[in-house]
Amino acid sequence: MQTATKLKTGNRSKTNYIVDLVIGMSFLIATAPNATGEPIHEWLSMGLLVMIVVHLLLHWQWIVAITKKLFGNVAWQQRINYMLNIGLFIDLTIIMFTGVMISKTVVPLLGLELPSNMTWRSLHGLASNIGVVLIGLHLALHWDWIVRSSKRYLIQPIAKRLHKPTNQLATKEQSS
Amino acid sequence: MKLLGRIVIIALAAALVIGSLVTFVPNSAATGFAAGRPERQLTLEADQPTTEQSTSAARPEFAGRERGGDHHEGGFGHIIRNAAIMAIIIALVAFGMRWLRRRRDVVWL
Ligand code: HEM
Ligand code: HEM
Repeated sequence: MQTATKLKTGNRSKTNYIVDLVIGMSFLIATAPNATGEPIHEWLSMGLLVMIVVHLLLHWQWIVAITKKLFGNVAWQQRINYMLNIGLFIDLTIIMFTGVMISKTVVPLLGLELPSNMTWRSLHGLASNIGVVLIGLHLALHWDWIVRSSKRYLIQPIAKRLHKPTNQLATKEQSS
Repeated sequence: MKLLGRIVIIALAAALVIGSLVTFVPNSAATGFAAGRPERQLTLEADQPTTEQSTSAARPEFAGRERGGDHHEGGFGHIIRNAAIMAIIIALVAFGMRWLRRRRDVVWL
């Protein structure tokens, strides 16, 4: 997290915040295919796949820095973080792959028919349940950042908008 | 170019995971995959687990786990459930860590 703080400029962390908000929401919705219907589930998840690649590209410096230092001296928290991120990557890859294997919308659209099999289906459900736990941990390790960014990019802008009229009123009263 | 290289690295890492998955999953799907596309599996094999799946006649290839079958996974309640699980994990881990750090029992945190 230290590296991330050093690297990010104001805009970069706002971008991160928006991307993280979008993948967080999309993931939650993707865990409930019967709520959205199956076609939306598949298209949403394909979008999520792209956004996760963007998420990784945005954190590329962190990945390179910690990979280089992994066996040297790096804070234990970063090491745990790294292991968790590897687990996340494996889990999300399994979800996406098994999802494609059981796809009824996206893959048939491409004119392909894959062998239908229970194993992929149950792996898909299992990996997505594990994903809920792993992403929960991932978010927990960045909780301070999330709280800070939410204040800066979500709560303050809304509060500013709500308070503006009263501020203007106050200055007018003072000047008159 | 740099961006493309990074995307290629991510794709290779994903391919590694998928490759291991396909080799390690001992299943007709995995073996059938290498040998070409097998027929759709319409019935459960004798050695396939049926404990948590019914063998509904409606969509036997999903062993009854189809919508309208005997599983009720994935409705709106599911979003709430998963959000709640994440919230509990965050509460336990994020605030637990803060607490441990304050007590200085765990130095490396
Ligand atoms: C394939 C799955 C994912 C992988 C491999 C991954 C990996 C990473 C990496 C490498 C970092 C930066 C290093 C760090 O400080 O730990 C990071 C940060 C972060 N990720 Fe993820 N992530 C994944 C999914 C998600 C999802 C689904 C969310 C949900 C919102 C999320 C939210 C965050 C947040 C909030 C940060 C901190 C941002 C910052 O410090 O700028 N990640 N992730
Ligand atoms: C992060 C991404 C994803 C998550 C969290 C997720 C989660 C889930 C869950 C929880 C189920 C229900 C499983 C069960 O009842 O055992 C499911 C079903 C399914 N998923 Fe995904 N999935 C994701 C990505 C994908 C992708 C990329 C595809 C295909 C392109 C896909 C295709 C399907 C299909 C076809 C079903 C069966 C739906 C039905 O029978 O109505 N999923 N998914």
